[in-house]
Amino acid sequence: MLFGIAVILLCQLIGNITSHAFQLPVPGPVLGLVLLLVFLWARDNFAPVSSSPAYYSVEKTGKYILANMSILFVPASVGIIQKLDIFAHNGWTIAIAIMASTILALAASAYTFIFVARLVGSKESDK
Amino acid sequence: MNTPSFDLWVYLSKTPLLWLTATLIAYVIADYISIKSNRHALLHPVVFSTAALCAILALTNTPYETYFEGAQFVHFLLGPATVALGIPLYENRGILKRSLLPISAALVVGAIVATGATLIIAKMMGASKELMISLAPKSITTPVAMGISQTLGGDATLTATIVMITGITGVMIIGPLMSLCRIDDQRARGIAAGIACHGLGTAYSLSQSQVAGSFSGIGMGICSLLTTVLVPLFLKAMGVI
Repeated sequence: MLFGIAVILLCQLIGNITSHAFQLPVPGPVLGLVLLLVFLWARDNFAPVSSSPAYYSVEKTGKYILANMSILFVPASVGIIQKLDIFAHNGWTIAIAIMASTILALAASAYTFIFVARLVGSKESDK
Repeated sequence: MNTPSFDLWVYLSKTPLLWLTATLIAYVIADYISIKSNRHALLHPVVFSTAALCAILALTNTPYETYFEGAQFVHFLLGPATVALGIPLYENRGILKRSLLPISAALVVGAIVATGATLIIAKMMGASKELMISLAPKSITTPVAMGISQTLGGDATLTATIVMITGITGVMIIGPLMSLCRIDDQRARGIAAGIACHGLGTAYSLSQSQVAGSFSGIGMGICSLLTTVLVPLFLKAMGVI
């Protein structure tokens, strides 16, 4: 568990430093995600399979955080309370723009995916 | 004036413990209600716990800053959670590689529709210039959305709130919408959730399946890059900036 959280935090730290130092439009945690992919790939290809519990501790820790990911958005969501005056004036514009464009974006993305997947014969299961 | 219960309140409101605990309890209760309702779309635990916490803050006259001092410990984990998305991505790399073309097509179309539709609707409804800029990056992850909004002259904290409302709206409608459209391909559901409603969509997708979660993670990550390029183009084309 400790090894896992240390690896994940280290990836984020390097990601944040890189993003900040080069003024990249990509946030640090997204760069950290790429670093974690490199770590997992390197571990599986170069490290001999180990019976030590630390070996899969990244997966264990990461999956625990991901399983509870929704709660992480609550503190930011409560920020709505600071903007109630803007919503009192522009509430309908914001609500309709968000609702309609979200429905359109969801449907457009999903249909495009399915259309192109059929076109090139890409299947969900490995046949 | 200084009754014992008031003293206790003053003491508690100075430590992060109170609002951290309140956030966790509100979510645990909201999650319990959601499970009891068989995960009804309108009773999403984030919606319910956010509403409850807002009501408590309003009733106790607590500023958001005070609340956030406690809640920041939960908020902080968003970064590590984003990094951890690498795990389902890595485990599903086979199916992701096989779906590279449909993923790219969905990303391009989805990012254009998400930004374009928002701006066209907002303009039709007579939104101000500042509101349009603040709305434009609404379907992508908060740090990038705030950056875009700020650079182009929008209200970054308003953008952060709009991003959260978009995510919550998305996860409430995605289930019924996908059933209505008869889309059961987990890959399509996942990528759509990531493109239209960022991390909240990804959290939702992960609760559906590992495949949906990994496609959602890809959708969220690349859509935020595409949107960074698209927003200034759209705003210029519409004469807003």
